[in-house]
Amino acid sequence: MREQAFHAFFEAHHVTLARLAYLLTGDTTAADDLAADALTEVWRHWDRVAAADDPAAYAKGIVANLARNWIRRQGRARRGLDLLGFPRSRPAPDVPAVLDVRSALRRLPYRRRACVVLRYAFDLPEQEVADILGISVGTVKSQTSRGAKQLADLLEDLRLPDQLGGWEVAR
Amino acid sequence: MNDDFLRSELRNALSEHTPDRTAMLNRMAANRAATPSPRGRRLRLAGAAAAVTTVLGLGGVAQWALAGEHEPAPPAAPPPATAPAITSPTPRPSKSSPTPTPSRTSSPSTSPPAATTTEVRGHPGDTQVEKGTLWSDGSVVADGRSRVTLKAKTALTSLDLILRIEPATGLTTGKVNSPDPRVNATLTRDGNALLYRFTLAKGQTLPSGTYVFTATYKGDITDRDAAQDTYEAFADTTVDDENKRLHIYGNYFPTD
Repeated sequence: MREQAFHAFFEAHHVTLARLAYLLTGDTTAADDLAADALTEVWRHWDRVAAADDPAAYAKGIVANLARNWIRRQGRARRGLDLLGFPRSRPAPDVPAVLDVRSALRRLPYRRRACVVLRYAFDLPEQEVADILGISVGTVKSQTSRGAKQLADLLEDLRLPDQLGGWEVAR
Repeated sequence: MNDDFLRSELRNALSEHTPDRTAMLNRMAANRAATPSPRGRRLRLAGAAAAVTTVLGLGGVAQWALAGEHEPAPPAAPPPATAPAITSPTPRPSKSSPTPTPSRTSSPSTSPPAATTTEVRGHPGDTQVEKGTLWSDGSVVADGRSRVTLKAKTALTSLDLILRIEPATGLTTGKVNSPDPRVNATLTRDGNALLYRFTLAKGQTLPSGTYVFTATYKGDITDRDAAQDTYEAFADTTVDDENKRLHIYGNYFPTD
């Protein structure tokens, strides 16, 4: 019974969860790993998950947590390399003219990024985003609006050429 | 730049990724094999092979084995990096007799030592003088005056610092002054300890900077050994829009 129910849950949600992890981390391989780890947690606590109002939201919350931990580990590993004096490829100091959405997202602080992704890419209501991230609705509102603004600024170069029909944009 | 544009860009980015279902199943099998289900021992006995076959069906064993090479990422946050502990400090923080064994009877004013339920942090060998954006140092400035310096690289939204002078045998309370009007200072006696407590008023923010907190005490201060004195602080700060809880503790030995 339990295994069957879980298996159905896996089939219904593994793509969504992996895609969420993908937008949060920007890393294809890590995304699948994190989603799989989150699903393992779901399986471990299946009784609790199944009893939750929204099992899918519960799973998304786990993904969001694991993604944040993963990003922190990456940061620590990078700092470690710096300390050891290993050179690492740094992005050019001036912002490249065109950013894709993924690299633009990566520049947002984590919570803003999570809010923007859940609100805009997944189209979830504010209350649900608040439940997933374990923060207040007010915080979701402010983080989303700041994040959207920041992302929009970063992406400006993507849109302007289309908008202006090829006219050279003086800036 | 409007919301619709962001929405469509993000949705496009979302659909860029098609997860590798088999890889996910394999990783889950590896995870499940690595740690037994908290629900029962039967599954643990069934072991890795059973976990793979019963749940997943497909997925090559070879791939599963490969997946096993992955770190089974723990769901809990990794342990915080602790500051290097100061071990076996040789210098004495104050002029002191080699064996300071103050007699309890000489202090009739003190209440019997309360049963300390909470662990006192900060003794030599058990220190964490730096955490995140908060750095600290304790020193004995003069007989009867101990000082803790906090350097906050980011503004603190809460602070609760206790300078613990223990044993306080033969000591009479001195005074405690706050280095900042937003910080309340209190002085209490807890068992055989003097507690100088500095608390940031609720709703206030302490800007980044250096703050010096001083505990003064009187009485038998000549030749008092400050080796057991400690300090401990909890603070909150905001880094990248995220709240960080900071916990530091240490003592008054010079750091060299």
